[in-house]
Amino acid sequence: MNDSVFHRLYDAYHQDVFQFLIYLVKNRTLAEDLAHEVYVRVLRSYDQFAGNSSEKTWLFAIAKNVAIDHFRKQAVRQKHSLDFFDWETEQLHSTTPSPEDMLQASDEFIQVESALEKCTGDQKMVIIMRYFQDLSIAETAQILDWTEAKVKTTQHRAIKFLRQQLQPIKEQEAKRQ
Amino acid sequence: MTHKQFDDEHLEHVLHNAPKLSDHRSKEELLNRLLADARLQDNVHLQEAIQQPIEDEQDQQDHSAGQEPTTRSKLRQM
Repeated sequence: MNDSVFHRLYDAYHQDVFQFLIYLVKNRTLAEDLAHEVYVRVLRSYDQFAGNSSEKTWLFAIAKNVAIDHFRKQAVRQKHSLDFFDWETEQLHSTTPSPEDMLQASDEFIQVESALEKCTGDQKMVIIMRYFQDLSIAETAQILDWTEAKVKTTQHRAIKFLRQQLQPIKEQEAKRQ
Repeated sequence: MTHKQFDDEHLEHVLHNAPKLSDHRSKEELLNRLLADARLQDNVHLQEAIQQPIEDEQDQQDHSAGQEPTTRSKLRQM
């Protein structure tokens, strides 16, 4: 059995990191590219990993940075300017998910995902980490380099925003029935 | 509140039950792509990732003759 850094991290966390990336960018090919970039950064910087956090939160922090870098580059390309991309206030515009990935989702989940696209970048990131990845508040705080209080507040605001977005859809559905 | 309304509890239930989306590629495919990346040329951790299976398989060969070992060139051909 190979216990090198790559094999150990791949075996323990690859599918979790990939899921985190694909829910952020909603494009399988792009998620594959970003996962590659995550491993490049991991392998190049592993010797600087001080062990202040767990390998899991360190890996997710790198994945988060890779994703943010992608969205920043995308924003620059779209705006044709060098405006600073503030992921804490701006939306993370992802592309349409593949039909194969959509097949697995319920109508209700698709509505939630659509509403999630209207959240700010930090809210979307927290929802994915806390609910889709089942990361704890402490782990999410470490990955985002926030306080636990900020994670809780952001999560609360995101849930409130999602509910506000989804309630009218549910009311319209109820009227039609 | 009717069952059609999206209260926090129901919303959290939907979020917790997000479909699992997996990477369908094999570990070898990922390793091959990393091996082809110039930024990782001579990276010690990548070398470890590809060297150790060779040693492991050579150990296995001692026990079962005729088995083809995994090599860096073989990884790249996959």
